[in-house]
Amino acid sequence: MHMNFNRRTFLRGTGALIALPALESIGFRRFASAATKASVAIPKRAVFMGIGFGVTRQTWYPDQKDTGAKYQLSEGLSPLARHKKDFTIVQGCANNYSNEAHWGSTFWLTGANRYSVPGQNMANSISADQVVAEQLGKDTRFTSIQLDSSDGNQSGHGPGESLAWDKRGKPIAGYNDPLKTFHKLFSAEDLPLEQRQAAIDEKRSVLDAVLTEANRVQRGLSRNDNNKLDEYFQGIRDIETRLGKDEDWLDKPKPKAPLDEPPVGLKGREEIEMMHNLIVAALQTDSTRALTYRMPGQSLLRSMDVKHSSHNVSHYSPGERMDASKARDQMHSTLLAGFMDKLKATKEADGTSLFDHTSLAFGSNISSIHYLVNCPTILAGGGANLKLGEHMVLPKDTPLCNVWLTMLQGMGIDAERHGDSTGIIKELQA
Amino acid sequence: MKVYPLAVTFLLSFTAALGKVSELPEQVDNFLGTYCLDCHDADTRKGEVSLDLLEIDWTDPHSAKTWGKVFEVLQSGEMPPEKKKQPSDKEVHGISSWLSQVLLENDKPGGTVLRRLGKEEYENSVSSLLKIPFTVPRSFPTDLVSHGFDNHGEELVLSPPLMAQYLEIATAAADSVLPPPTGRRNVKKDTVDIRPGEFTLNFTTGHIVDGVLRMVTSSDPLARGSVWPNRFEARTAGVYQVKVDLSYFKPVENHIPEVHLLSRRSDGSNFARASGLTKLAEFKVPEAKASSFVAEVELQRGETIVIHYENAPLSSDQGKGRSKHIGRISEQLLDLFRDDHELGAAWMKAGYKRSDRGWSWLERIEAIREKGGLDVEGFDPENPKVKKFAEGMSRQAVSLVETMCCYLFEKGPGIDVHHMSVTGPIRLIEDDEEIARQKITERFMGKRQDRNDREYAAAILKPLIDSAFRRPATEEQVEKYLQVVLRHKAEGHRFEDGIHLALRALLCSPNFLYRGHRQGQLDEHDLATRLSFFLTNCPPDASLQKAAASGKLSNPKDLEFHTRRLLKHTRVKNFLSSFTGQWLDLRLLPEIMPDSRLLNWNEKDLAAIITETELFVAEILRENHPIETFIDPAFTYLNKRNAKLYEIKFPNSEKMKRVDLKKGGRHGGILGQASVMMATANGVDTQPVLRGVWLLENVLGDPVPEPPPDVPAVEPDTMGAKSIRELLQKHNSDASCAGCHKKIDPPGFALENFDPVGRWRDHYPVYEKVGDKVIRKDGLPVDATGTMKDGTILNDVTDLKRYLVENVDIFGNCLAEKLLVYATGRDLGFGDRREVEKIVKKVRQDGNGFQDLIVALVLSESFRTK
Repeated sequence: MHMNFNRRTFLRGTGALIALPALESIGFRRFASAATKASVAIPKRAVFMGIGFGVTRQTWYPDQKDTGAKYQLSEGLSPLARHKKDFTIVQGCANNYSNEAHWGSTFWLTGANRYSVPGQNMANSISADQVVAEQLGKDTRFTSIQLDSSDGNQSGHGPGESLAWDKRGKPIAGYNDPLKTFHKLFSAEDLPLEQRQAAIDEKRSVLDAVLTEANRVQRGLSRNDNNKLDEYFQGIRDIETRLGKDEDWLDKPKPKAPLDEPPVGLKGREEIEMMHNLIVAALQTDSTRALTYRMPGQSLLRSMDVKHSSHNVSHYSPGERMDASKARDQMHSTLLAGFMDKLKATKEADGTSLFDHTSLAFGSNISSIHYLVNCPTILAGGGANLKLGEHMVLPKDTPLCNVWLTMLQGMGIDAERHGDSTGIIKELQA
Repeated sequence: MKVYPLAVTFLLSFTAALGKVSELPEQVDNFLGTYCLDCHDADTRKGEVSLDLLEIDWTDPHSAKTWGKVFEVLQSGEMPPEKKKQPSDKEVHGISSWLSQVLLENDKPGGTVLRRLGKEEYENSVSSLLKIPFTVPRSFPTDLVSHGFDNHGEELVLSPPLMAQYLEIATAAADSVLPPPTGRRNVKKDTVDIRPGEFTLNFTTGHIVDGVLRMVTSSDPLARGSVWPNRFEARTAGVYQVKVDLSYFKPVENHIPEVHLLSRRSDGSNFARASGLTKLAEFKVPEAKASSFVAEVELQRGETIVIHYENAPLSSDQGKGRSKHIGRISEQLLDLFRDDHELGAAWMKAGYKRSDRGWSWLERIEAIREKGGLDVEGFDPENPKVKKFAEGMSRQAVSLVETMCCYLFEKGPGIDVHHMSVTGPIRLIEDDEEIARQKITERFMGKRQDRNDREYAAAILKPLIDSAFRRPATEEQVEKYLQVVLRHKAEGHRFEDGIHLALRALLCSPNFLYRGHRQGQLDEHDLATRLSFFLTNCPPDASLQKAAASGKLSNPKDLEFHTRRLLKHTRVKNFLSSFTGQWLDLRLLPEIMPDSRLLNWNEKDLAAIITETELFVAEILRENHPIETFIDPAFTYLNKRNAKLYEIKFPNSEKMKRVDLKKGGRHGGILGQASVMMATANGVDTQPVLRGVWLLENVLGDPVPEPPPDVPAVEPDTMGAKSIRELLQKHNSDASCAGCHKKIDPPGFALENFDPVGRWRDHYPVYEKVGDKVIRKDGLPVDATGTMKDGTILNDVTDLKRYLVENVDIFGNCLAEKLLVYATGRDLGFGDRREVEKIVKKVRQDGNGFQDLIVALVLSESFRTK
């Protein structure tokens, strides 16, 4: 990595440039361990991966009576065997307000009550990853990154443009293609600095002009219309915030890509594997610390030669569709195990691995078919100081947001509650 | 609990609440206490409904919905449930009359929230504003679907990423009328070297052998016979010098290769034809030794240079007369066999399999050859059997030629490309695109004449703002945009840049992005806007703008005139595809892939069934057919593809033709067209519950709530040995299921004779594996019978059709509500629905024409109120 290294930035100690490969590049290799001792904190990261339609209930969950560290892995989880000590299965959690049988991702990380705003058909609240982003995203080029697939909100994800929802409960867009993601992360800007600065200034002028007009429009509106126009104001404010950040990063080159440019047109299994590589690359280069991935369902099945649609497979009954559902579970576990391998293989400069500093959650709001109870939940990684290697069965309908809250606090995030949480889950803490 | 019989006379003494709160009269309170509160009290709240109140607070947005529903379930007799104590008709009439009165007072027509332009509306608005074709980029967020449509005000959320997109798109759109200066004079001359490995190769258009790029075919489609550099395109329109080093590989007698250089847009189609491209240069290549060929060529910006081996003997092109090219190719194949008898023997053993093409076929043949044991001695290329075999293979011209190419890469003749370099621009030429863009800019900006900046800018901006806001702009509004221009210029930018900036702001303005800013009855301009988006998905045209400006549009006669005018306009196709695409779920079809065990399916089949429905609905609208026609028409549109699905004899033609049907039959209409049957299934099997729910929502106008989350879906497996009936028995035995499934299952089952692609069947299929093949057999018989809630017995879909024609208002109300929801972008309230009922009845008495229904809806208070 060849960066124009600025010592002041370095000393700020925020971690934007502290990923230790950077130290190595400027000849600090000798002192790397000393630097660690001097408590240059390696940043913590959070990754959430949502699968939309749930799992095969009969074969994915371990036996509820067989808890603790010595539990027997289930059929659906068996490909994860080599990581058994490094992840925890949590049973019994649910988002208690959820009532949409086909929305596996919309409320997964938010725990919101869809009808919480009177007269509004669809309300949501901030997702856990965005809570992370608010606090850990200030110093990275991307406050957060949302990955999505060309399946979009089909495949049982429900409304939304990614897994992420902002603090007003509005959807946040994601990149739905590995190639696009690669370019966003690593490709140099085409335009010279002055032109990019001018472009930001012009955008500001446009925003100023429309804001005054919107203020005028607002005066004549009814209350309901005004609520609607709020979305507009919020959109403008968001862009202003982003422009501010763009300006901060204007003169800092993007990191060198630790992987080759992905080929076009990846689908299903290959697409997921490539997205995994990109997630590792994004974390490794400290481009972001909050990342979500809304995974493809339909195209994954296609890449496995399953003819049924993902909706159809999710509504399995014994026979072809249930077999497909089981095969899909196995594939998910295989891919997840591969992803964990990659996180473990990527070393920080102090010899620890990316896995040790990342908190990873995998699952869905839907357990299977139309069931929204006992959301499938896998937690892994050392980033949130959670107890790993366990199979936990919590009391029925424990708010899933309690898990998210435990994770957030474990990462050192200042959060007292999240969604419909009622507290943290003590037994989940290491 | 005591029972107080409710007398109609009491009604007169009821005071209908005018304010925000309606107190429940004693009689209503008693009715609720007697018949409803057992289940719907504050504690039990069955179905999340509590009627345990002393007054109705209309400021609570849920009140109108809840009490509207109470009114409806009382009217239909759905509540109280059968097993509970039943009120007398008089009692029901009493409470209904009161409810109707307070609901009409408090849930009046209207209530659409500020409506953001939907994706298509936005595209059409930008197009119409700038008078250029315009489509949003693919990354543009799609709109949520609510109440069956994606243009519902409340759901048209403006999310931050969408706002960001608007801002980006505004820049791109402004660039398309006011492009930034290109600076093409500054493009420096340079040389690009292209090595053999840096060409785009498709299939077997070329092959790298010993570091050179070899070509052996002259097939016309680029992807079958040409190569081009993958990293070179002209940066600006100009003259370029191109140098290619070529040699003749394995020369043969009587053939001197000719190579053509052609120009091609680097983003053009790979299947464009070489013969259709502009020829830049041609060379003869007689020498087996490499020599350089140089030419000066003209390229437009974005164009690259194609190398085409013009007269290669091998080609998969079909000339005139299929037999000719088959003869030519098979003779060339025999030539290969003559040179290599072992190859001939191996190929004959390999034959042709469906996936064979190019290298994969070659690999299969070579594997056979390697295995040995071929009768090479006995192989005679002149044997008629071999000749027949070669002809047979040649029917797969494309695949075969690709495989033959693989052999010719070794055997020749061919040409070798050693190197190519392009130097330029040597000088600039006129840029076609730039000239076209300049014309657009001139039209957009008009002439300055001798006006100062302010006057000139005002002349450009005023009509632009009028059009963007869909109403005449105020002076203050124009002034604000003028200031943007003048300030930007004062800061040192060009005048055009100022207009550019103002235009970007205009395209992000809430007055452009939203409609329906004013409350109450729509004024002339808002009426024009709602009407125009309803029927054309576009902002008002000049004629509507004129009518609105003159204040005449709201006059019922003029409004009817413009409605009928737009219904005849070509742009009504936007309404047809958007409304029917969503109402009948045709938009889902491209996502569904029918099981290959059911039938072979391709995009032409899909196009046929969608076109059938589109033409069908278009005719009903155009001819003002009665709406019964949707259910039981005497015609449909067929080509050979959907005719086959319906087992109707039809000529072997792809062309859609109007065909007479007998009324009362199985096929035809929205309850018998393949498109609808496919959209309501999943391509693999049918689920009567899903079709039933769909019918209730889209045809019967009696939607049922989502299934409760804690109840497992009963998932019929039509492949299994149990009949769906058996699997769904629980719907009847369990009271909590029966509530809805009594309504869902009968119409759903009535469609069971239609398989997942709309073909008629009397038996469910079962699949048996016999060796490699899967064979379809008749399984259990289809049982499509059922009883509608009014007691009508259905034997199959024809009875359902008859039921709907006899009770056509059921469908009429549903269709009218769908139209009105689509047009106004809101849920219909109590007042809206009562108005719809009146309109539907009136239109039926006047002949029930579809156009007439739309006109009546446009003239209604519901349509004309925000």
